[in-house]
Amino acid sequence: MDVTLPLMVLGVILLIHLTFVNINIGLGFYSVILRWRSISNTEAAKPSRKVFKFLVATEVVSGVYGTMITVVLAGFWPTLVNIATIILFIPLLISIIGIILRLTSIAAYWYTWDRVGARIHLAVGLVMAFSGLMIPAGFRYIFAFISSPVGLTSLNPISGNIIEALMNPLYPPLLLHTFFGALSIGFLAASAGLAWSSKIDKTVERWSGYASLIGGLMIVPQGLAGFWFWSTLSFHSPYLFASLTRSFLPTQYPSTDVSYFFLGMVLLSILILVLGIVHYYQPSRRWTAYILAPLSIAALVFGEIAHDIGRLPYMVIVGDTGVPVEIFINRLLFIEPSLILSGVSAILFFTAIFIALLYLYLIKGIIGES
Amino acid sequence: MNSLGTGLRGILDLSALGIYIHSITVAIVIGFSITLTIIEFLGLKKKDSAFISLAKQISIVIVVAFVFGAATGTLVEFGLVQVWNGVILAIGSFFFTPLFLELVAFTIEATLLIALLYTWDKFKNPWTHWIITVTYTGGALLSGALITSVNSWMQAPWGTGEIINKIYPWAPIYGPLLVNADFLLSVKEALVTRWASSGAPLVNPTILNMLTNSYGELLKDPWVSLTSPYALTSIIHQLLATTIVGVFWIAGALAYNGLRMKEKRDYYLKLFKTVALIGSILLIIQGIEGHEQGLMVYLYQPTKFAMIAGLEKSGPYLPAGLTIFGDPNYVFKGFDYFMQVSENHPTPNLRIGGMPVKEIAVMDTLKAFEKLPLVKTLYEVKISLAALSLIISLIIISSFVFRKFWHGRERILFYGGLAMFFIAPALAGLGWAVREIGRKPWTVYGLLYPEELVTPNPIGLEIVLTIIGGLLLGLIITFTTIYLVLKKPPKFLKIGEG
Repeated sequence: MDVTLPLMVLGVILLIHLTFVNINIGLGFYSVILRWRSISNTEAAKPSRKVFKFLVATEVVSGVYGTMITVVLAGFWPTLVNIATIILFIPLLISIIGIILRLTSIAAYWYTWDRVGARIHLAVGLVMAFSGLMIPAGFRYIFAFISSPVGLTSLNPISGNIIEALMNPLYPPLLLHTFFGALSIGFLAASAGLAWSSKIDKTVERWSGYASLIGGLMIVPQGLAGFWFWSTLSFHSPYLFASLTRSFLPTQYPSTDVSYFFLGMVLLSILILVLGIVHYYQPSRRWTAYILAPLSIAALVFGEIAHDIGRLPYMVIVGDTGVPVEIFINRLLFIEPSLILSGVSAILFFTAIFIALLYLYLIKGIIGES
Repeated sequence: MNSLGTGLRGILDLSALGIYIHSITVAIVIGFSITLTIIEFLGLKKKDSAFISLAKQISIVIVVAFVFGAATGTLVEFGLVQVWNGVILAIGSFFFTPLFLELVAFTIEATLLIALLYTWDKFKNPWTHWIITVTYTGGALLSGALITSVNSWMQAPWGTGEIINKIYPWAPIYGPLLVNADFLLSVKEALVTRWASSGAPLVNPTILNMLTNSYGELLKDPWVSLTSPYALTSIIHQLLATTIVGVFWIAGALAYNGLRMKEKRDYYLKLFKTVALIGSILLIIQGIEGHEQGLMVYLYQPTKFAMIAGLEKSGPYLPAGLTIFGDPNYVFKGFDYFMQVSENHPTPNLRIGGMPVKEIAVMDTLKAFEKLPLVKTLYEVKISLAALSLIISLIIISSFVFRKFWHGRERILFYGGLAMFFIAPALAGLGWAVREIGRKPWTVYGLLYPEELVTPNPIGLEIVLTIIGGLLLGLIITFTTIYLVLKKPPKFLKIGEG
């Protein structure tokens, strides 16, 4: 089977999923921070609720697309998924527990608002926010694993050390980079939403500014974690390192050039940092907040393209070479491209409807609460 | 071959628990959707605000259940690929098409559920909202149908032709041969040789690429799991069963309110009778459809049929004899026959993984036989409950015919509805238990055992407790949330303002 279509399908679904997941994680934290502030400053209660409403609405998309990734991966790359489920058994379990905690604590946080004491509600909120981090804490092991398959000792039969797999040196910097990135994107999304809201309610304007400041400043630790990840790649995943830096540093062997995406991500991040600070000082200029949210998503997309396309033609990188995508592709049956294309088209069509509804619900207030 | 170890037994039980808890939300999502569609239709047609209020309440319960269903569905999905990771082989072949299409159905469900919740009273023409409801319900039913087709392939592996019959001489032929027999038998052979230590690690690129290079693709028709007659019947049967549970849960809740609040009894009686009528009609249809499902079991799962009918020895089974052959004395084949043909195997020299197929057939037939007392008991309890629920349904229907007789006796109807609140899920749960336990000792009937598909990683007590704890916590939060939203519905729904 040709790998182009499956790779494109996986790429589109992964990018949509990651966009919404990152937004949700950051929104969760900002809502809880505002909830904490509302104990001493009641003005923060309203934006806290608004941010959380945004989270609830977008959580559906990230959840649905998360399910899709599992099916697409298992359908197109069944053997790769089998390797991951055996070797990364513990990380995947962490993610599952995170999913259960996250969804249930979202419901609990929503329905205990003003029905229990503020501190108890805050504790529920903290469970909600941190369980959001548990999900990538597990899944990011897969990304670290396919860049450096630590723990795998044999492919046939699949065997390895599931404890050793937890020691992947790429994992800590990748996870930190993900955490700070998610907080940045989520805070900037909150900033944009609150900026729009401030057109009719000026009291939320300053909270938009705070969100953009924190979101912008998150770029600093994210950049440091990114540098750590990048330098770790040079030791443990030299092929991917070469792909990321191909146009700027001499490399010893041919690799897929994604260096301009990598550079684009870095430049966008600097711009986000600057604009984030600018919006904090001038929150009445709403356009900066409107620009910041899509910029942060663009930085995410550039980063993921660099990270995931940079590994091609390999799916799993082993040092300066790897195991090609074709090795893992499903050859058990002929999958008709028309079936895939029509299915993906329908999924994207309904996702567009959902985003339109989200827009109407959150922004226009046409179908929301009056 | 070894018997089920305690570890494997525990994993099977844990999987069953996960599926049962997930099925609670499935019953709400599917059963409530059907009810919502009908109730909203009646509300619009009759311009009756009571029906519209009920429809709004149903819609918000569906949203809560859908969120929890997504969480437990993720657990079940991960359970499938992580704990039973040998199943990935089937996900990449037999299950690919239904699971891929399920993604479309799931997206339709998720999108339109949000749409239908937030667009109540927003359209000039209220029928526009009803169209969203109908489309959403279509998505929910499609999703249920596709997942049922996956389970149905494990019950009757359509497209494997005579392969299973070569191992078990009592087995039927599962449609035309749409799989690559050499490929499948090679996989089976490899799995059998690793039987004591899980076959899942064999689903790796080296083995599968070697097999495809040698034999070509495993599956010739990607639609096979959707075109099996067993799947088509099962889809109707399962969707009806799930819908009946959901409908009677609503009816039961209305009956409870009708009994509790005397001042609003007439209000709840009208709603209860309408919803209970839907459930009663569906239950009668299910009774008729049950015959078709039984026929499929008779045709494609001989050991399960013998378990259900208690056929330790071949003999008549009156209900099936009458309905299938019009002959109460028709002699059905029992386990004595299965053992006899296994011991006199037509190809005794054929070996799989070094083991003669005759030995495999005898041993597995005996293992299936061990389940007979349990499956027979479960089935008989189920049939008894079905008879009781049929009587209650007829009573409910009679209240529309003999209105004068039932005037002043409404409490009896309410108690009937309350009884069905518990009987309907018990019926469905028992039916599912018969379906699943009756399939044993195989996970894929006649082809694959649980031992061959389970993860090689140990599943410790801490994992089991975490998953059970997560499920129970989620269940508690879900029902608390449903209680809260029904007690104080969101303002934008304008419930009670009609």
